[in-house]
Amino acid sequence: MPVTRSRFLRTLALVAWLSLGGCVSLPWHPAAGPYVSDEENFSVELPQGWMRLNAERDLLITRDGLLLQHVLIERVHVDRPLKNTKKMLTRGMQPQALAEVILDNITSSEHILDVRVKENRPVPIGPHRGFKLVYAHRDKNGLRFRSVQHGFLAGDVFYGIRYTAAERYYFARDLPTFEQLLATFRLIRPPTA
Amino acid sequence: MRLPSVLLAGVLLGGCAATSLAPVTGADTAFEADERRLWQRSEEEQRAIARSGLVYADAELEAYLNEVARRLETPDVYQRIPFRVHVLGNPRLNAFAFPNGVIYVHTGLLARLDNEAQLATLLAHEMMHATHRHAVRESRDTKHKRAWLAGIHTTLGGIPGVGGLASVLGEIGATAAVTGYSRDLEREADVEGLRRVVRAGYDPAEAPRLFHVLRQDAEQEKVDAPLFYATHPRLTERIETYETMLRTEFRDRRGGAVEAAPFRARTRRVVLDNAWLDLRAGRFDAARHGARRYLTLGPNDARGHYLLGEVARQMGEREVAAQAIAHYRKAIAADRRYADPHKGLGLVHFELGDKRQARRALERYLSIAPAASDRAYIEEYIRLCQ
Repeated sequence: MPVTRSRFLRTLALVAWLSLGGCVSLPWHPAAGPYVSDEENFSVELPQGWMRLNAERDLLITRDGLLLQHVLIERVHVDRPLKNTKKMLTRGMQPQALAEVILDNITSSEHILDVRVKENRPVPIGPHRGFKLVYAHRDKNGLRFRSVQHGFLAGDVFYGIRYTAAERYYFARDLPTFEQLLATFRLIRPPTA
Repeated sequence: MRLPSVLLAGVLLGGCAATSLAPVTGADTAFEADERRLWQRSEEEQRAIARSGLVYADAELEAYLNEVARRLETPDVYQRIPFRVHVLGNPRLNAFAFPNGVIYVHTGLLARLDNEAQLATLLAHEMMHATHRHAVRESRDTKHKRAWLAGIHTTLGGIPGVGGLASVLGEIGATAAVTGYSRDLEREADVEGLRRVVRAGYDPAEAPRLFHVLRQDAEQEKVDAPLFYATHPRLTERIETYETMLRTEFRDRRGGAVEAAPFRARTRRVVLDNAWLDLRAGRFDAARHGARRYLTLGPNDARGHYLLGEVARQMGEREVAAQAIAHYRKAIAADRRYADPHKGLGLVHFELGDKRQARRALERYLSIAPAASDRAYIEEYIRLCQ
């Protein structure tokens, strides 16, 4: 059954309300400006008007609500198992092999449905050899999303920088903001040899 | 749009005390009000499944499964419950039925069955849940009602391989797919199902073998019990139920249709596709098993050998690199214009440090597939080989 525009917008509005309306209980903070995490070994310039979830691990920001759009910056040590695939990351992986494992982790998720890869190619992320993966997907309600996943390995750590947004309207609107953010991403210290 | 849980509560609480209902035998069976609401709710949940992108699109396969299902019930019952079988692209071993006769079988389970008699056992079991009205009977049982209303998704969400499925399904689907029904109802589905299997002319000796497959998978994946019987009686107990029936009710019954060859031919594609799902999930043994099974119908099939090559390569162990190379070469010998094995060959040689061979294979890959979506990666490898 096709999802009507009004139903889609109602759902998105509800999601936005649920995800940001709960700011009282969630540790959301205004995000704009430089974000420097010595512990996570990266810095990035966060956009104006976005909110940051101050989680223990990973950096998660959104402007209008998590399911409307968000950016996630995550670190995964190569010894740590991935969530959805038993494949492991290994030190020194080429960007193609790295993208292959990350994509398998995405497509093996039971929450990210109907994944369709639109683009998968090597790209530099600052001085690092990395990859860019663009894919469309759906959630359990059939709502369509689009994600841009960048990633690279620095020593024993995988850095993933992902932008996900509702395919309709929000993805295109906030993509330039994500690209600006990505351009400011830096590792604070070089990876350990 | 989903009904609010209050309405679901009304649906479930609307039933009265009676938990035994006569099975559906023909067109004259009347459904009660709470049962009809369960059907409506089931249709909503099925629409959500259709929207989710989980349905495995293979019209021929679906037609075959429905053809087998048709042999298991009378036209009279079909008039009242129009059974329809669909396939979900999911490597986990599972199958479940909604009260309105819509059955979903995972590719993972289909890919592990050996023959049509085992498929018939599986389908008959699921069909019995609908004909014997297990959903409404369970919903009227106050003990289980509370569990239904407690929010099944919360309970199931954290179980690996289950949470996602449960989140797509509603309460009815999740009950059927994940928690299963009470032991008595499951046993009834086993017993009545096996009677339908025998009536349709299939060999009942194949029935317990289906459960051996499930037990093997449970052991391999180190799970307590596979989804198909998550809270059902333990698999061993179920195997014993079937074996007891074979020794008693069907002791004089020898043989019957097994239909291994047509089953394998009709499910060949799903075996290969499911093996790729297993590989993506990093279930290397299951992927290899699927690829080998696929090759049993065509030992020189390029796609089967390519997949075996990929399994060996992606395991990332130098000891199996030679196996990967051997399979890629077999795939290339079987179909010289098939580009992917050339890429696999190039990547293995690259990992082994043989840059000359790697470059040759990767250049061959690009010459066969100049518009390959991963061209930029391959060009980068070729540069690294220079």
